[in-house]
Formats: sequence, structure tokens, C-alpha cells
Amino acid sequence: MKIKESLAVGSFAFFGGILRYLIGLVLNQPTGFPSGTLCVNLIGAFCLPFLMRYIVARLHLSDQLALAIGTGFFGAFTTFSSFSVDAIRLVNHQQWSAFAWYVGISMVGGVLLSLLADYWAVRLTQRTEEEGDGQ
Amino acid sequence: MTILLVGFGAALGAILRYQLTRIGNHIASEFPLVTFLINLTGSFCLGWLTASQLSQPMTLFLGVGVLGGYTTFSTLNSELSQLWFRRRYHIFLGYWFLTYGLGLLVAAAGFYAGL
Repeated sequence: MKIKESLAVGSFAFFGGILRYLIGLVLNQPTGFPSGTLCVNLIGAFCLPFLMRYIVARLHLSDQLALAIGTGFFGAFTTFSSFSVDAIRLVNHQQWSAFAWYVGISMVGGVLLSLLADYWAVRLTQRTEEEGDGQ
Repeated sequence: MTILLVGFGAALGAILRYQLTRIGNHIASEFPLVTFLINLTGSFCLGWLTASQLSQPMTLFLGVGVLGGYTTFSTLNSELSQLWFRRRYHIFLGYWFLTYGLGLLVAAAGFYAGL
């Protein structure tokens, strides 16, 4: 069951979900473009891989803390269900260009940011190792 | 008060996602099936919920909270990135297009099922 891990995931998710909700309150317009969800998702797409593959290794964080931050906080901070329902809502309102932009930016921007984060994490790790070798 | 509903909902959703991922790890496949199924089922349920027009606290708890915490955009893209770096380009493309294509379809299906 992994009760301890579940509680760690849940408590970090608590804050991730609340932060997503608050950013949505500020940025999402009820009938307009879902800027809040888009911002949250793009931030998470970059930060999760970067944290998991650089910060965690660099700071020697425990597996449990990494799980809580990655699966808990960022998993709950970002959302796919709101993305798809937001997009369907734009279709229902016949806002075709907003629909195309929203899906396009999410789909392409999300993966590009994750690729960039992974690439950057690898580069920084190599540089850190090289500096370590030089000492 | 609404903030607490969202927070506790998100915690429940994320724990459910964590447990399913843990169970799913026993299935050895390169395709990230668990995240894929989580995002699709969550999209369907949120479509349904949106059409059902429940009370606002209930919608916040179940929709923004539970389903928001259950589904994930960051893990999806992190998995896509890993597939790309491991040169699994066919799986990358399949996972990418199927997630978005089917995600939008099941969200629409859930929405019309809930009307």
C-alpha cells in the first residue's frame, strides 16, 4: 500500500492543486481563453523534468521527497482533464481559432519545454561532473 | 473553504494516480500506458461532470480537485521527452497523437453523455 509515500504524494498534491486553482481564478476567463490552465501546464512541463533530472540529483534529495514533488506537487499542479474539456468548450462556443491556438500551444509547447528541460539537465549534469573532475 | 475542497480533492486524485502507476509498473511496456489511461478516463469524467452541472462546491471538489489531481500534463510531457531521448520515435508519435486525439474525443463523449 505504501501508506507513507501516499501521504507524502497527497500532501504535496494538496498545495499543487490549490496553486493551480488560484492561478486559474486570476487568469482563466469563464467564456474566453483558458490562459490559466495553459500557463500552469507549460510551467509544469518544464519544471517537472528539470527538477527530477537535475535538482534532485544535485541536491541528493531522497526518493520519497522526489516522488512527493514530482508525482504529488507537479502531478496535481498540472492537469490534462481541464485541458481537454476547455478545448471542447471552445468548440461548443465555435471559437475555432482559440481552439486551434490552445491545442497547438499545449501540444507543441508542452513537449518542447520538457525536451528543453531534459536537454538542459543533461548538459548541466555533465558540466558539474567535469568541474568535479578538475578538482 | 473552497480552497480546502480543491486541495483535498487534488490530494485524493494524486494518491489514486500514484497507486495506479505503482500497480501499472509491473506491466513491462515502453508505451506509458498508465498515464495514458489516467488522462483519458479523467478527461471523460470531467466532460461528464461539466455537462451535469452539479453544485459549485461539488464541481470544485470533483472537477478542479480530484480530476485535476488525478490527470497530469507534466508527467505526459516528461514521458514524451524520455521516449524522444531514448530514440523511440514511433512510440513518441503514437503516445503524443493518441493522447491528444483521444483525449479530446473522450472529453466530448463524456460531455454529451452527461447532458
